[in-house]
Amino acid sequence: MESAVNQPINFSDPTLLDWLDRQTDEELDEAPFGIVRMNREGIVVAYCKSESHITGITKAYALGKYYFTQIAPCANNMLVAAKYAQPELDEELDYILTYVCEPVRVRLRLLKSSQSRYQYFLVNRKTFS
Amino acid sequence: MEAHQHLQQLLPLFHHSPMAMAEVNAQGIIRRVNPKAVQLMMPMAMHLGLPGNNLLDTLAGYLPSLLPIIADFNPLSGVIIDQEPYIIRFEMEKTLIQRHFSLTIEKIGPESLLLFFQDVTDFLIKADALRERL
Repeated sequence: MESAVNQPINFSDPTLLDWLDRQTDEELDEAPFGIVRMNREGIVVAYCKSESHITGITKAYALGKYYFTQIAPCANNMLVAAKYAQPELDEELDYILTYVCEPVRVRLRLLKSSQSRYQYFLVNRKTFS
Repeated sequence: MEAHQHLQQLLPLFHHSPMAMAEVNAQGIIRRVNPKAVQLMMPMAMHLGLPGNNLLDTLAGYLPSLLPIIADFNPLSGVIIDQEPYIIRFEMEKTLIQRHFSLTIEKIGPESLLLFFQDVTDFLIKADALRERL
């Protein structure tokens, strides 16, 4: 039987949160966009390969750290980090990420649901127009 | 210690600095930026409907006098603005945001500007409280 992770998943798919919740930490590595899986306190529990390629931060460095204060302080503001205070969250926005990486324009998707024990920060690389 | 090793060790200072720092070209396009600068800049850019890759355009949306001041600065290098205070007001999700900033701009070449800015709102509140206690 074909694994669900091998089926293409779209960044803007309305059922993405359910799909993410079904993947193991290792399976998230196969996604075509960056995925940060956090627990409800904002601590990184999975940091996929694509995310690491975009930011230059290794999985080993990211795991166990508070995402918005220790890994991505550039997103620690009212536009992004503060949104996770809501019980339900599904929002896309254009943003610029920087840390070890050069400033890179990205599309973010912020996902959280009271039905999930995780919250997600998803990153799709964009090109500057 | 070799120079490049020393530079590597300086990086955390840049990445964790509470001061926003950026290098932009003469048009304001960001070449290098630290996380604090992105953190402060993106809400301002989004409020203006700008993508955030041009820091001068973003700041000029709140400080219209900024671009003429930079354009009128003729020396090839030097400090253009030194810790200039300004207030940014905008509404986001029905909340009125008013923040006090300090801005320094230094020209380091004909095609290169360094910008240093800081949200000093909390500092001013603490300074006022300190003065009241004296």
